[in-house]
Amino acid sequence: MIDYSLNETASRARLAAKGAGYPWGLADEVYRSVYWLAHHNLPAPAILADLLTEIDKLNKITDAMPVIADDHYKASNEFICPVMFGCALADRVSDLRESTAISFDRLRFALLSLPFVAEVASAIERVGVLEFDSHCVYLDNRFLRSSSSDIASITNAVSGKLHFVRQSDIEFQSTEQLTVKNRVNISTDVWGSLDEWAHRTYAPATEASRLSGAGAGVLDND
Amino acid sequence: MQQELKQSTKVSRRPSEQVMRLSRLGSFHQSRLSFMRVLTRRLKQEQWSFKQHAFRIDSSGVGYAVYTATGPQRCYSLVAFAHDLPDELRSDRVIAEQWDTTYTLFDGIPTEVDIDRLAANVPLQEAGRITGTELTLSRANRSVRLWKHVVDSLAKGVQPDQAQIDSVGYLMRTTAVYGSGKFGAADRQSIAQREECKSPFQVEMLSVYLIRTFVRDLVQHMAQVKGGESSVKLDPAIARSLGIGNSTGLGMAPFILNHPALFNNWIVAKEEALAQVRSVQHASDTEIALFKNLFDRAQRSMVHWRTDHALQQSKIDTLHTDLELAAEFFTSLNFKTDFVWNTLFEWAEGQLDLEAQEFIASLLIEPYGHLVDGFAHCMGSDSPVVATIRGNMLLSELKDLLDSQYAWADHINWSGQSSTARAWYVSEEKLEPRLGERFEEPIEPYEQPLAPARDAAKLRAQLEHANSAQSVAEFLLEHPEYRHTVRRIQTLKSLPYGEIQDNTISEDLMPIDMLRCKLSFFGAIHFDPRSDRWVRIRMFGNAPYPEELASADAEFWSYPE
Repeated sequence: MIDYSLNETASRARLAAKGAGYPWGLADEVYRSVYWLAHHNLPAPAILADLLTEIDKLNKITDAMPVIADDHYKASNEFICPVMFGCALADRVSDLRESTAISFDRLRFALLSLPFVAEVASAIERVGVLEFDSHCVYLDNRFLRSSSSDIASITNAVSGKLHFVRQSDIEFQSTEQLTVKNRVNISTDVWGSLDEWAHRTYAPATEASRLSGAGAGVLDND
Repeated sequence: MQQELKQSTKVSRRPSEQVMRLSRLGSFHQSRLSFMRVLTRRLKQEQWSFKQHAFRIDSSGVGYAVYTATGPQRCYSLVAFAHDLPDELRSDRVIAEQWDTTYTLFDGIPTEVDIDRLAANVPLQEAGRITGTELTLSRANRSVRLWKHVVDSLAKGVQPDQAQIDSVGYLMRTTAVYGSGKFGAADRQSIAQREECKSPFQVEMLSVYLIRTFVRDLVQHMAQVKGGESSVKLDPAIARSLGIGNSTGLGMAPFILNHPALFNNWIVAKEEALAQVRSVQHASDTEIALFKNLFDRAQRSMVHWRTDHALQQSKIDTLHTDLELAAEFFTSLNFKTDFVWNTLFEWAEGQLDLEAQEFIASLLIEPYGHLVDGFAHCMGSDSPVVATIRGNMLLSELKDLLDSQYAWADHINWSGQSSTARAWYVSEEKLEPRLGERFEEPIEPYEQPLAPARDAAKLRAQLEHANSAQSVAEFLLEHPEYRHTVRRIQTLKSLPYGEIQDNTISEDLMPIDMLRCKLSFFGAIHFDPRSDRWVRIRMFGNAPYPEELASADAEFWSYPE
């Protein structure tokens, strides 16, 4: 395991997403998601690496976008990307009410959507309740309660519901407050995997580009 | 204008369409709001103390040193490593792998264990790892000819030749000063709330300030090794004139495009400072005298500003002529008339070239620390790196925003090759931004999103086919490829100075304008382009050293007496 800063972790995640085919604006959202999760000591890089592996199997990146009809988020193809799901949700925050009940299917790697759920829940001063078949998560920007001790296991969920409740209905315990951490431990395998994706965004170097592109001369002594 | 002023007593900030052109941004000068000067002002006002905790450099110039700066709340230590670098390995390029000296700024005072860890990593720079207790990572190379001259002179017991000192201006130049979480360093966010870190780039500036001290001590050490008892110490006045050089390539350019909120705040601070000074009705004798004094000092020091770059030399030549014109104008100007600074500035805008206009803009705020220094606290930004999209905005409103923000780009024909001749990309070699020829090199698939005006034009074309009553949320569900452009347009709504109002991929682009702008906010002087995309500058030249801070002027050192 190697110790990384939040910025280098999220920046690498952003580039990895771009390398896997996300447009820049969505790659920026991957940055946002990974930064939030890592900052709250939740495992993001490894799950992102798995997500990108699945994304790479799609014909085109937009196959992972949700199709939305009457608060039902449906996969247009194999599965919904959790970041695209989160963006669609956050983009509709002004439509969300306590009475809103969103359903979704084939949402993979759902952990990566938690930052967006927390953001919209806090924006409407409610707590988001994510219900999967065997798992339930309550969260906003400050607290998280999970029915499973392994929050990362929601990654395996596929369908579920999201609704919002009043903060007074939940009564979070102080032990459920999101912890804040400024460093991220990432295995060399996971980092290497993200690095491979990120590498796709780099132009191959040539001596010509090295000289003209960077603009430096050959001799630097003075 | 003076009549209007008496009624409103407030000159407005210059409009963004005037300020945000690259030709003007590329003519910016340092000012009392520059980050180096914000730092030295703080060090003096808060009476920071400095201590050399270690100086374990051997006779071949290899070893390490630790310099600790202690402020009211906490202390920071520069850990410096000196190496024995053969001349043929010395390179300013980011692809270099060895340097004369390498550094990190440690948060606190390092233990021996810390030093051992840092010794195994800092000399490797990008190939090593630092941790959350380190705030910056940097390196510096010698100016070979000046270093040798100074060591040889001092070793013989004589002072180095001032003309040679002036011709280079520094003994070493940094080739990178990394911060903000790079290579494992602490994130900016983890220190942003510290009082001494609220202004931008303060730990980076402190690093360079301490590097300058170490470099002076190192050159004296090497002279002492060489000359033994016959050696002498560097004359403090000569030492004072030496700064630290910096060699900067394109890595710096995308920053001001990628941080529109931060960039906006820098420009707002400077423009508001200028507007406030132009709104001063009565200039006091002291303020007038200070302005004239600094003008004279600056005019004299500009003589030492040299470059081999034809375009920059031409700008410097015009600057000299313009400053002579200004000096003549001052003799006929009654500084006791109302709103004299506004009169002076309007004259400059009408009579002088951009380089001199911007010099005057910086100089005007110098006598008014009591009005403008507080703006330094507003030059940071708490805005999230990735702003939230407002999905309920209608496309009609988005289009109106786009049209108003990018009206300056309406004349650009984006289908022409000249307007899209360049592309920003990142090379696989050192992960550094580069600028290539789109139609000559296979780089387009790797293009970075650093052409906001071109991207806005693409979005506008798409919006022509969209239902203007549709929401942004609905649009982005169908067209995620425009998400970064929509975010930028929405973000810029509250950032009047957040966008460079020029085409950043044009065949005419001069990337050094972007570098110059950012470096002026750092406080750099002697801007010396080595090409259209690589520049050397001088930092902290003439600034008091730590032991001089208590007694010397820590305010106007950038205008040598």
